[in-house]
Amino acid sequence: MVMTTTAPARRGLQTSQEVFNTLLTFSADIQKAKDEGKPVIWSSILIPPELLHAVGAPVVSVEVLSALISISQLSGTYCQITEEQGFSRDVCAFQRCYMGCILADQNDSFSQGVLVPPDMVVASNFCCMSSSKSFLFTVDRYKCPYFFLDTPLRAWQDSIPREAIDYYVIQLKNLIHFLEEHGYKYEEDRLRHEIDVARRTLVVREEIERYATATPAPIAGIDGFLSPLLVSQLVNSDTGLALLEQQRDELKERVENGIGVIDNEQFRLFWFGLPALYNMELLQYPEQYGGVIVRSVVEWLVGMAIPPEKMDPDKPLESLAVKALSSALNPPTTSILDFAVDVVRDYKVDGVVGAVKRSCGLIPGAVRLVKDAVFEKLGVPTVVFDLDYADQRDFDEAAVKANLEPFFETIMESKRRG
Amino acid sequence: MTAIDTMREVLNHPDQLIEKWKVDGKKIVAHRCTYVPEEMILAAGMIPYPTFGTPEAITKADSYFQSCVCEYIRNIFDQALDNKYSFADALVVANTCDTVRKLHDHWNTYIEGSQCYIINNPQMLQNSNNRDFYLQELQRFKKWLEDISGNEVTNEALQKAIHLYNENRSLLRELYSLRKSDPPLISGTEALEISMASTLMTKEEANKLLRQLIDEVKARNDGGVEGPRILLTGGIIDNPDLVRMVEECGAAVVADDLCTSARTFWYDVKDNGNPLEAIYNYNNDRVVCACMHPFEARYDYLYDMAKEYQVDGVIYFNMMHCHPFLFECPLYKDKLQAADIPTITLETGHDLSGIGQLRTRVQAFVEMLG
Repeated sequence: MVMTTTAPARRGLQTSQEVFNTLLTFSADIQKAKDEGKPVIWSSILIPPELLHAVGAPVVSVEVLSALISISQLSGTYCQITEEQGFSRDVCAFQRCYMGCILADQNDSFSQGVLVPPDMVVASNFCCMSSSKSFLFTVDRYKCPYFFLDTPLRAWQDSIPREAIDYYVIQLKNLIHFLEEHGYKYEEDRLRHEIDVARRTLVVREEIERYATATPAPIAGIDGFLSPLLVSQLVNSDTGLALLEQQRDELKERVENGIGVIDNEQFRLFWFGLPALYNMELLQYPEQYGGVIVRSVVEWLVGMAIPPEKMDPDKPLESLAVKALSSALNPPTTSILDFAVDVVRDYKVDGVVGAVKRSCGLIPGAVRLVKDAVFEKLGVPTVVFDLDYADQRDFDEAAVKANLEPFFETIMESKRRG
Repeated sequence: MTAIDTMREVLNHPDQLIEKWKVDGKKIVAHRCTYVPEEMILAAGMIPYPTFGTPEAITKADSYFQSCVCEYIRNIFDQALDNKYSFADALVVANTCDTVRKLHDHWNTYIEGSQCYIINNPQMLQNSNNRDFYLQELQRFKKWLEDISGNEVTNEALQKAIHLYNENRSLLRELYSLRKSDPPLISGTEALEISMASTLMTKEEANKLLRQLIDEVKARNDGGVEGPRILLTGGIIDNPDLVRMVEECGAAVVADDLCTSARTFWYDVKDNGNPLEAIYNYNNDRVVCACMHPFEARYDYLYDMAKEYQVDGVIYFNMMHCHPFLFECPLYKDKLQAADIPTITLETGHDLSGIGQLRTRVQAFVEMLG
C-alpha cells in the first residue's frame, strides 16, 4: 500500500499560544513573589493547588520545572548531574531533571533564570513513589521545612469511606497550620472561591470534551497536551478558567463549521502516556499519515478527571479530599481502565499509543492492562514501545517511528477492510 | 541433623511444607511485606506464606510488565503465570510502592484461582492522625480474611497468634544478638538462611528449631567468618548467595536490615488487650521500609543498628528498578558517611548475572575497610 507521508496543513488552536505564553511567565512570577517576601513552596501538581492558591503562595511544581527543562533540551545535562550524585538512571527522569537543576546551583543560564529555590516543601505520595521520595533530596539540599500529605489508595470498590476522607481532611488542616506557621494567612472564603472556580473549570472541561469527540477532530496532538487545565493548576484558577472558556469557544466554532485539525482525517489515536517533551513534534508525526491524536491523558495527570459536582464550595476541605481519593490517577488501575475504554469509545479511537516511560513506576505497570481492556471491550489495538518522556538521552527517533509506522498501516488496512 | 541443616532443608524445599499443608486441608495465603500482619492470617486459620524470587530467567512476565519494572515483582508474577503459586488461595500485599500496586492489579486480572488483597495502610507513620483510618482498614482486612477462610477472626485467636509471633521475633533477635561478638558466632549467610526459613515455617515449628539452634550456636567459638564487620541493607534481598559472596570477599556480615530479615522481627507487637489496635500500634510505630515516612525515623533505626552491631561499613544492596530504595540510598549514604560509616551502594537482580562485577566492587570496599 502507499501511505501519505507529507504532512498536511495543520490548524492549531489560538488558545494554545496563550497557554504557552502564560507558562513562560510562570517562573518570572514566582521570582517576583519571592522578591516581595513571599515564601516559595515547592510542591507536586497533584497536591491540592486550590489550597496553596487560596493562601496566595507562589508554587513551583517540580513536574512542570522538569518539563521546562526537558522542553529546553537540558534533560540530558541535568539527569547526568543527578546520576553523578549516586542516583540511579533507573529512577524517574522527571525527578532527575529537577534534581540536576538544583545541583547545577544556579551556575548556568537556565538555573539562573528559572530556578527559584524553595523556602518550604509540600510533598505527597500521590501519585507515585518517585513523588513520595525525591522531595527529600530537595529538603536535604535546601535545609527547608517540609510537610508530607499521605494520600490513601482508592482501593474501595464503592464509595470512599468516611474515615479516609476524615484522614485526608485532618492532614489538610495540619497543612494549613504548617502554612500559617511559615507566614501565610488562611481564609476559608478564599478557599471556597478556589473550589468554586475549580468546579466551574470542570464544567467547562466537560463541555470541551463533548466538542473534542467530534469528527473531524477539532483539537489534536500538542494542543491536547498543552491544556489550559495545566495552567489552572499552576498559576491561578481564574486565569486557567478564562483560558479554558476561550478554548471551549474555539472548539465550538470549529465543530459547528466542520473544521478539523487536518483535512481528510483517516484515523484517530489515543496517546496513553506523556509525549517526549524534548521532541513535541512527534505528536504531529501521525498527521503525515492522516492520523490525529484526539485524546491525551492530561486531565488525569493533573488530577482533574473528576465530575464537577464533587467540588462543593460549602465543603472545601472535604471536596479536596474527594478529589484526591477519587482521582483516576490514584491506584489501583481499575479507574484508568474505565477511563481508557470510555475515551476509545467516545472519541471513536482507532488505535492506542502506549508510550512507556522507562523510568516510571506507573505507566509501565498499567499499559498491558489498558491494552487488553481496550481490545477485549472494543477490539481496538494498542502499540506499546519505550519512550522516556523527559530524558532525551534515551530517545531513539528511528525506533519510535519504526514502531508507529506499521501500526498506522495496520489501522488503515483494518479500516479499509471495514 | 543440626537445627540449621533442618532449616536449610526447609529453605531449599518449601514444596514439602506446602504439600503437607494441602494434605491437612489448610488454606495458604501468600504474602509479601513486613507491613502485612501475618498474625491476622494465622488467626483466620490459614497459613501465611512469604513470596521469594527465584534465580530463573523472567520470561512470561515481561510481556505484562516492561523490563524497567521492579525485578522482584516481575519475578513473582512470572512464577504466578507459571502456576508456581497455584497452591496459594490468595496473595496479600501492603500499600508500599507503585509496582506492588500494579502487581495487585495484574494478579486480579490475569491469575486465575486466587485473588490479591492490598492493605491500604498509610505511608506516613509514627502519626496518631492515621489511627482511625488504619484501624478501619485493618477491620476491612479482617472481614476479607473471614470471608475467604470461612472462619471468624476472634480476639482470642489473634492474641494467641501475636504471642506466637512475638516469641518467634524474640528468638530471632536472640540469635541475631550472637552476631554482636567479635568474631560473630554465626555468619551473615547462615543468619539470612535461618531468617528466611523461619518465615516459611509455622511458628510453632520454627520456634522449636530456633531454641535448639541458639543452643548450638552458643556452643560455637566462631561463625566461620572474619574481617570487617558489615551491615547489609536494601530492599528485598532473598538470595543468601549474595551474602555468601560478601563473606567470601573477606568480610563478616554481622547485621542485615532487609525485608527478609530484621524488618520482620526487630520489634514486638505490644498486646494491650485490644489485638487489632496492638497491630496498628506495631505497624505505625516502626518505619523500617523506604516506602514509609518519616524518612528520618528509618535512618535513625538503621543508624542505631549499625552502632549496636559495631559495624565497619554498610553495603546497600538495591534490587534492580526498586525506586524507593534507589531514591533513599544516595541520601542515606551521605548521612552514614558523615557519621564515619563507609557505605557502598550496589544494584543486583535475582539471576545474579552480574555477581562477578559485584564481587570486584565488594572486594575493593572490604580492602578499603581492612
